[in-house]
Formats: sequence, C-alpha cells, structure tokens
Amino acid sequence: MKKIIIFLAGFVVLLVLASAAVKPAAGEVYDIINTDRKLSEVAAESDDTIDVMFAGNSLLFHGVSPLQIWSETGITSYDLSEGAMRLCDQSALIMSTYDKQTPELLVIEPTLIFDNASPYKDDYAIPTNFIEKIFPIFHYHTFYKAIKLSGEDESKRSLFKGFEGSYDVDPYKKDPDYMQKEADPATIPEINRKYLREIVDFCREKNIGILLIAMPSPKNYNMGIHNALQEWADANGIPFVDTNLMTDEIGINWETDTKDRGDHLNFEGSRKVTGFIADYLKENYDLTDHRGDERYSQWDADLAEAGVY
Amino acid sequence: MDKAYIIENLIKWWGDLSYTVWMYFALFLPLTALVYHFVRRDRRKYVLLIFSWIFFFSLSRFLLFANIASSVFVWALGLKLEAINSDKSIKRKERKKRKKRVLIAGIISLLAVLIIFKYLDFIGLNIVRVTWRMGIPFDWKMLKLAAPVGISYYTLESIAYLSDVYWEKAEAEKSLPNVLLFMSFFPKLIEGPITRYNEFRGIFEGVDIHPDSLATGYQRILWGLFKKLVIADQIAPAVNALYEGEYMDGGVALCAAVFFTIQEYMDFSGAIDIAVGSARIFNLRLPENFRQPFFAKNASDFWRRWHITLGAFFRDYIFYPISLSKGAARISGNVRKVLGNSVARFTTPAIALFFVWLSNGLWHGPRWTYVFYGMYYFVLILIENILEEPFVKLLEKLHLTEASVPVRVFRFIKLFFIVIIGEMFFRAETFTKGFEMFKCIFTDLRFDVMLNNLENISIDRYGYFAIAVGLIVVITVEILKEAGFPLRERLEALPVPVRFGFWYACIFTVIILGAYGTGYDAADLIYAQF
Repeated sequence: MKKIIIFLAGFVVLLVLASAAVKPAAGEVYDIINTDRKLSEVAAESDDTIDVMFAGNSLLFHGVSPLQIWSETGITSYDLSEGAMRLCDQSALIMSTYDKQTPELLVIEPTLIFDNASPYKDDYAIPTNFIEKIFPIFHYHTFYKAIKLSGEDESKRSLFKGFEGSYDVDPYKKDPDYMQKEADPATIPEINRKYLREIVDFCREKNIGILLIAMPSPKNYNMGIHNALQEWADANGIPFVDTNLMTDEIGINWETDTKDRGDHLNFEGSRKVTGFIADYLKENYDLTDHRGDERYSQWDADLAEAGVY
Repeated sequence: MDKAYIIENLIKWWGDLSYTVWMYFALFLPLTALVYHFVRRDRRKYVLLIFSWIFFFSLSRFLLFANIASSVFVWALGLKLEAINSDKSIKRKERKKRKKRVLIAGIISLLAVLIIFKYLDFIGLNIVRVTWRMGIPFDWKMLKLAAPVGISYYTLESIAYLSDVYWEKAEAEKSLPNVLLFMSFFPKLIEGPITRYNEFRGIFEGVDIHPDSLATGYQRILWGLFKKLVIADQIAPAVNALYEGEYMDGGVALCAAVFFTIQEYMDFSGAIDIAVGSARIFNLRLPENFRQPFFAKNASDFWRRWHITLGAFFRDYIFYPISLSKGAARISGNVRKVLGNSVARFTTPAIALFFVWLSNGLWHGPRWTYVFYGMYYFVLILIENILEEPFVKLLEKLHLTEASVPVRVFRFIKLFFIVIIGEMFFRAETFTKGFEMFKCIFTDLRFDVMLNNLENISIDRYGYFAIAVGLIVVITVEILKEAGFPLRERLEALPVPVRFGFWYACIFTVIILGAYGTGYDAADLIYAQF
C-alpha cells in the first residue's frame, strides 16, 4: 500500500508540473491553440501601433479586413477573432494584448455573445471543470497541436492582421428580408453577461471606447437577436450598428458576397462591409490617419505584399 | 451560483457516467472500493449491489426496476428448476418434462422483455412494410422505448444460468441478493463480458482488496483507456465523416471500413479491459472477450478470438443443443439417404450454424444490416468448413504447411478482407448503403478522393499521429502476447523507479493524446447500444 501512496503522490507532483508547463499565456481560455496563436501574432506587431481592436468569431474573421481599413483611412486595427471563438477567449485576448497595444476603440461583432462562453467544454460539468481548474493539464492537454514542424511557416506575423478572406461563392437564396420577419426573442446567457461585464469594465478602466457592429449574416441574425443586443447596448451606453439592417445601403448582393449560403461573407462581401466600417470609424471617431508616418511603414509594406487593396 | 442550479447541473453531469469518464475510474470506482474495504466481509456483496444499482440508476433511471424484476424472476425460476431436479418422487422422464416447461417459459419470458424494449418498433415497421405491399392498411406508431442498460447482456447471462441449472451443470442460487448482483454488477453491465454464473460466484466471498489486485486492476483500466481515448475516439470523427460524406468511391468505402474496424476493436476491447480491470480490483476474474483476433487463421477462429463470450454463449446454448437435437439428427439422416454421406456430415452443423448466426445478427439489434452481418459469417464459415479438407490436401501437394509464411500471409489477407467487408455492412445505416459501398470497390476504385477526404474529415495530423502511436503500441503488445511473451511478468521484474516511470509515461500518454475535453465530442461506447 505504501508503494501505491508514493506512486500517487508522484503522480500529483507530475500533474502540477505539467499543468504549470502548459498553462496558456492569455489566462483561462477555452481554446489554447487559437488564443496562443492570436496572441503571438499580435505580439509580432510593433508596440502601441494598433488603434482599433476587433473581437468576434468567424463572422468577423471573414468579414473585416484591417489592411483595407488602413488603405482607405490610415487607421490601424487588428482582428482578434477566429472561427468558433468563445467570448471567454476573446475577453482573455483583449486583456492580454493590452500589455503591448493600447487601442482607443474595441469593436465587437456580437454573434459570439449568444454562443457558449465558458472556458470549459460543458459549463454544467461543475466537478470536471473544477478538476481542470486545479490541474490545467487536463484542460489544455492538446497544447502540442501548436507545435509546428520544421520547414513550416514559422512567421508569427499575420499579413492580413488577423483577417482571412475567402474567394468561395455559395449564394444565399432564401428570404432577403430576413430582418423583417418576426423572430423569437433571444436571451444573453448569464455567463456571457459576466464576460461582457468584465470586458466593459476593463475598457472603461483603460479608457477604451466600445462599439458593437453586427456583420451581415442571414443565418445568424434576426430581429430577436437584434433586439436583445440593442437592449444590452442601450443599458450599457454602447453604440450598436447592425449592418443586417443596411445591406442595401452597403450593397450586399447575396448572390455573390457569401461563401456559404448566408453564413459568412466572402472576400467580395468583406470588401463592401469593411469599406462601410472604415467610413463609419472615420466619421464617428477621432482616430489618427497614420499614413506617411514612418513608424507605420510596415503597414504600407504589408499592403503592397497583400496586393489586393 | 444558487443551490438549485448546482444540483441540477450535478445531476446532468452524473448522467454522463460511463467507463471512460474520470468520474467512473477516479471517483465512482475508488469510492466503491473504499466502502467495500471498510465493510465486514459478508456484507461486501451488498456494497457492490448498492453501487451497481447507483450505476444502473445513473444510466437508466427507473428502468432499474425492470432489471430487478428480471433478476427476481430468474432467481425464482432457478429455485423452481432445482426443486424439480431434486424431487426424486417424480419419475426421471416426468422430471425432465416439467423442468423443460419451466426453462422454456423462463427463456420465452426473458426474451419477450428484451423484444419489447428493443425490437418492437423494428417488428412493427416490418409488418407495415409487408402489409403495405399486400394492400392491407396497417399502421405502426413508433414507441421508441428506452431499453434498460445492458439488457442484451444480462438477458443472455440469465438464459445461460437457467440452462446450466436445467442441465445440472450449476446449482441454483438460493440467495436473492447474489442473483441481483449477478444481473447488475456494474463493471460488466454496459458491454459485458457475458459471464457465466459459476465464473461469478467468487465475488460473493468478499475477498479483501489487495494492493496487487488494485494495481493490476488499474493497469488494465489504463490499457482500456489508452485504446478507447487515444485510438477509438480519435478515429471516430473520421469514421463518421467517411460514412456520411457526400462522395463515395471504392477507396473511401475501403478506408471507412478499415477505420471503423479499428475504432470498433479499440472501443469494444478497451471497454472490456476496463470492465475486467474494475472487477479485478474486487478479486473477480471476468472472462476475457478478445484474444488477438487478427492472428486468427480463418473466420471461425476469428470468432473464437473476437467477442469470445458471445461466441461461447451461442456455442453452448444454441449450437450444441441444436446439433444434438433429435430434429437435426432426423434431417441429417434424411439428407444422407438422398445425397449421401459427404453432404450429410455438413447438414447438422449447417443447421446449427444457421441459428447461431441468425441469433448473432439479431442480438446486435433491430436492423437488417445486422441480420445480413450474421448471415455473411454463416455462409463464410460454412464455405470454410466445406473447403478445409481440400485446402489441406492442396497444401500437402504444394509441400506447404499451416506454418509456412505464404500460407500465413494468404490467411491473414483473406481474414482481413472478410472482417472489413463484414464491418462495412455492420456500420452502414442501411443494407442498400452497405451494398453501394461494397459495389463501388469493384466499379469505382480510386484513391484520390479518399486521400482528399482524409485531409478534410475533422481529424488533424496530430490526431493521425495519436492514432499511429496508439496502433503501433497495441499491435506490438498483440504480437508479443500471441508469441507468449510474458510482458506483465517482465514489467513487474523491473526496478521500482523504472516501473513507476513506465506507468507515469503511460498515464501521461493517455492524458495528452486522448480525445477528450476541448475540441472533442465524447464518443459513446459502440457495444453499449447492442
């Protein structure tokens, strides 16, 4: 029996050591791979050069291009979003990137406000989550997936500043008046409100403005969601722009601008929405046009290398 | 968090109980062992019974009473059979007749419960199909009954028990709690192994938990977790994607079948390792269910190595009784008169085999693909039996023996294709889908689509890496076991620090490479549904 106790004690020590080794830099997150990658990408940007941070999930990831905003307005921005990113991960990223970047404005694409926001796979599994909290190795056991093989692209910089365009076209052919129809009212889950509160408090403390901009997406938006977001935004004194109500004004053509039947925008769609956002930022915020400033010459180099704007 | 929220979530969480979640091996099992340890020896079986019921209730809620009712029924019938056996005032012939009536009534009742819970919708739908074709209006409203966990397994166990008492191979159990525990013992509840009552009796002695039994049990559980989490659950999304993908060609079909065979073997044998390991902690040796099946020399040998306890059940309680029955002898005699001895000698085994494989197919569940699966092996094994003698003669002519490398390679390739084709149909949603997959191996065999599919089937290169590591380890262990290498003894002989290091490495391999938590969907145990 003594041997078994020694074995178990050794096992606990190893769990503690392994946990310390794999804990992500961004704090408690759901997806260690994506958050660590995003963090290292942002860290590769020159310190204190980003004026606008974008946060969201795949709708934003495929929707807003910081390089295009730069080319049109000279405003610097970065896209912290990633496919299926949870609110807890965005919250951790917003806070941990502040070490090196001090943005003036945070723009949130709010679809993720209705998705699971917990850093744990199943929020209800309280004991499992408790064990994962004590021994994070169980939570972050897939840490090795971040390892790149030799010969792979080691560059941590993102040329498109976190954005990923797609040239796929798969038209949305259903109801173009999806925002006119009645829909069930949506509710923001309590855990999501908690993370939103944390983000809002953090931004207020650091004097960062917040803006909600919903991407056009018939698959993800309806009036029920719009109303819930409007209510939350009003209660917190945050401006909310829903581009789903302005698709004509922006010029969205659902035949050509979506890559997957109205779920995400493709490159053509992103061009239009990004153009609209660039104008909106320019008109409504006092953000500096850094074009011509030598400190920001890398942005021009990236723009030239991208060759699409 | 308020109290009601916490309680509601804890209940939901506990509902996820299964052999491969930590709450089982790190919470439920140690707690059972702890209480068992501190209770008087003669009361330990009650501890196991209570924990088995908690386990049962967690998975099937109040269907526990169906299990208890079946157990009481089996207990009473066992006593009844015993009473007839020992009543010497009745003539032997009359005794046999009476107990036969009791046994048949018992088997029919137990099967009826199984049919009601699992097969009623299947029967109803097929009646609708037939009557619809005949133009008779008949409607069937799907009942979608949830079956008590493990009903397919404990029904067979109870049939075996009653038959053994009937044949006087086993004594009837006088203690009701003992039968209740036999029918609900948590390690073997979900997926077996199908255990005979005589193999189970040892548990009632309440033998002390020894550090060795604890260590051996947990080592076996770890091995099961390795197979299930590192291989089966890593490959599961690929199997689903390949079977449900939009495009199917011969390459995809073969790949899907090979992947599913790997998944099924690792899933099922892994769960059995956990079952055997769990029982081992309480000093009970459950029967083994797998013995290096891919080293089998033919299909019937494969079934003596794969799901051994099911095969043994069908052998003892279907094959032998039918083979030795008067009816089979009569048919065989008639065949001999008409077609001669060479055909007649295969008649009795063929009749018995037919019922064995029909039962095997049906036991897996209410699907025609399972019936086809059973018939597939019936035909193959029958052909093998018939061709065995000419094949041996052919080997002699070619100056080869069973041990010759070309013969072994031929046998392996033949078995490999027999097994994966069988699994291709077994996993297919419908017989038509299975047949389409099979057909395109011959009509549309390309590999570019398959390779393209492999890159896009929700399994990344790290997943493939984990599967490759897992398979190398498992295959190595299987080769060593087949060669009779005393792996366990050699490990035990290592110095303590080396041994500790080895087990730590094994545990961390499962922790790191296992498919659980973030980014993975928990995959149900495949054989739990049967």
